[in-house]
Amino acid sequence: MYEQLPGSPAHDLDDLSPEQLDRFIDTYAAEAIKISSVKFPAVGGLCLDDAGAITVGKMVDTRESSAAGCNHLGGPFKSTRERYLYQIEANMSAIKAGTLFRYGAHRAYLAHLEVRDLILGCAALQEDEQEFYLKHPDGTADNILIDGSGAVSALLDWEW
Amino acid sequence: MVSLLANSINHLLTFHGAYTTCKAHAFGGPRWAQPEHFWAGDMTLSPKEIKLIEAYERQGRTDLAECVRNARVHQLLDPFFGTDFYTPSGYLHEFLSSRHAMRLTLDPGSISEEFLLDPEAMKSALHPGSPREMEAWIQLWEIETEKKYEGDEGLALVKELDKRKWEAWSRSKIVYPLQEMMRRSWKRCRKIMGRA
Repeated sequence: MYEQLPGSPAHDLDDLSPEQLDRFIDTYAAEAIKISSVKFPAVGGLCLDDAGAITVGKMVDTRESSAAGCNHLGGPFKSTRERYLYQIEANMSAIKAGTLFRYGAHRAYLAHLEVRDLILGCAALQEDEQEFYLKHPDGTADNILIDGSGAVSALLDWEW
Repeated sequence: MVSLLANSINHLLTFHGAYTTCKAHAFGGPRWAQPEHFWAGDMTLSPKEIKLIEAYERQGRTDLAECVRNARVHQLLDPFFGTDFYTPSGYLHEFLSSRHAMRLTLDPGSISEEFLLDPEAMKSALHPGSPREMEAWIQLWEIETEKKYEGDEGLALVKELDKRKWEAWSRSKIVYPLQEMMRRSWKRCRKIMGRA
């Protein structure tokens, strides 16, 4: 499918001319605005319900070493804070079970303890969230196709 | 691939890593716009992020511009849930070198409880010059943080786990090869002595 789409990967944006970069950013913003028109009721991964409609379900764990010992990372969640805390706990359980961070488990566990406290104390994560939006799992320029003028022609690799 | 038509998704292909999240996270500055030294603690808006803010404002979306201004909380947490999370050289160094900025961004109140670090050690943590400097700072952080979470039962378990793994590794890489070398030397000695 990649080959059928117009444009080539943006890769290093510093290689673009100032005009191309401005065009890239303007058209990227326009694409993001389009994506912002689609809203969801929860935090999670996308899946199809029994009727074939798109819905929010469990988050897919794309890591080689699954933290939770299964192929998902929980969900749907009512907030990003709930998601972060669930997944931090899942990571910590996996570290204790020896399935995540086979080497350097002690340091990794300490880092998780610190980050869990920071999430619990973070005021920005305690704000009420009602609507949720689609996020690309890898926001690097490698996944963006651009034409000769720098305009965005496609956003790829949503499965990463 | 996600295809949008009339404000709804009409095609959804190879999407299993995509997810839904809050507005600040979904539209905060993407990775391509982050400051060059983000993981060394540079939390100022990059020139690309400023351009993105201006682009959203020009297109009438001040709410999305605000997301870019306030994206740091989620960007700092992303490595803990990302695909390269489990590589020690990936996330741990990113976390430790941006740790001070992380505390300031996520929970400024936690700074008052911060253990006192040697200013030179902190400097090297923010701008780790060499792997040796970084390792020295990591060791300092490890000792101090362990004291803070002394009562955590999981920590004792993980420490024991690390110890057992280290022992198994040293047996396979140091003790067993050394024993084998000594056995061969002894055999050779006996052979020479026998000839004499």
